[in-house]
Amino acid sequence: MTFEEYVAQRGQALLRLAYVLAGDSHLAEDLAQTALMDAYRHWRKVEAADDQDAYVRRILVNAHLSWYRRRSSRERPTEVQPVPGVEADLADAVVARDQTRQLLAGLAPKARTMLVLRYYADLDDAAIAKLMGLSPSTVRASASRALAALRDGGVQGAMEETR
Amino acid sequence: MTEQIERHLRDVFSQEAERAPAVGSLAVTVVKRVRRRRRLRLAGTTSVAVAAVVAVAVFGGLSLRPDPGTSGRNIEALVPAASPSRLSAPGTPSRSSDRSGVLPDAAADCPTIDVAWVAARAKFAFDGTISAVVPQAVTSGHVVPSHATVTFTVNEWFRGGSGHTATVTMSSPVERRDSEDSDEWGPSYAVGTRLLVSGTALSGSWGNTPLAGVCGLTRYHDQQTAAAWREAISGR
Repeated sequence: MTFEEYVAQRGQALLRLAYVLAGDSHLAEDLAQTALMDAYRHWRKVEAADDQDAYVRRILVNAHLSWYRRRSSRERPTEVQPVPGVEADLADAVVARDQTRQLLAGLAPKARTMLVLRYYADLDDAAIAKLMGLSPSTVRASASRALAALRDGGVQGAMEETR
Repeated sequence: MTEQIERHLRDVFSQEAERAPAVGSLAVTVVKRVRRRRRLRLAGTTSVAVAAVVAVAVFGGLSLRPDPGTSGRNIEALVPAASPSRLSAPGTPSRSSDRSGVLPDAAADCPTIDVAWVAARAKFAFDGTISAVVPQAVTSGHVVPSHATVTFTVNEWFRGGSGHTATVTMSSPVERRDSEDSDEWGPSYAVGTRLLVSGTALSGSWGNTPLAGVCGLTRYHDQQTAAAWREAISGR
């Protein structure tokens, strides 16, 4: 498979993961480009890897965590047009998600990354551990603490208000 | 309880992912960038080598004589003093902007939430003018690009407060066109923007700062909506 074929097949999934990690369109594009530039430079190694996605994902996650360490300049978010029309249930769901987004943003970057990899990328703790260079027990403990922080921060309450 | 939160997280992340930018010509962009960097690196190496050769050729046979006028004095390079770094001023909304309605948000699904819902659920609500924006909310030592800490001079409280100022956490400003006919872009909010602000959470995950809601819970000020909020939320 050529690099271009890989990006055509997997590029959108990578961008989505980058966006869920970064929470910002421009940052997500930067992250995805950074990961793919590294992959392109070492394409022979990527091509030969057992799991090409895991290889590129690891670069993406490391780039994401490095960004927090460097505190690089913020990219400007893109414009979104409001969608007209509402029902009360939908409003409840919007507000609950907004509060959860805010609570998630308040987590330490590594903890948030673990939750994204578990509940968005559907990786098990062993895969997350390998990707982040941690032990599986550390991943389990950190994820458990992050979930507890969300619960204590009011995610449960926010969800119950939507009923 | 944990299972419910886990399901909710999957839902939140899945919704977020739907808003990711399109892949477009990502492969082409990446290949171009890598090749450009290689060319620049190569050009840089070549320039250094050429400069070294030139330096040896020009100076190799010359002896340096001191300038009699400067002997005994330190000669300071005439480098202009670096101008003090200026914090870039927060963008101000264009005077020609015709901003009304819901405050746009980069990540929320934005059905417009009406005043009845706000009146029923809001824990705080006010009419305020932004006096400060910290573009990246900082918590526990790390930056959060998706949110900002915003301070308001409060013009009128509808619920949940009484001070002259209020500080809330808000989704970061997004770039938007001033109007459909305009080519001018600006941030959706900045110092000087007047908003109607409400939220359902009095404390967030950092600094006990209330979270300003999206999609109609926070919107540009207009007299009609302010009057509706005043009647529905504060009962005046």
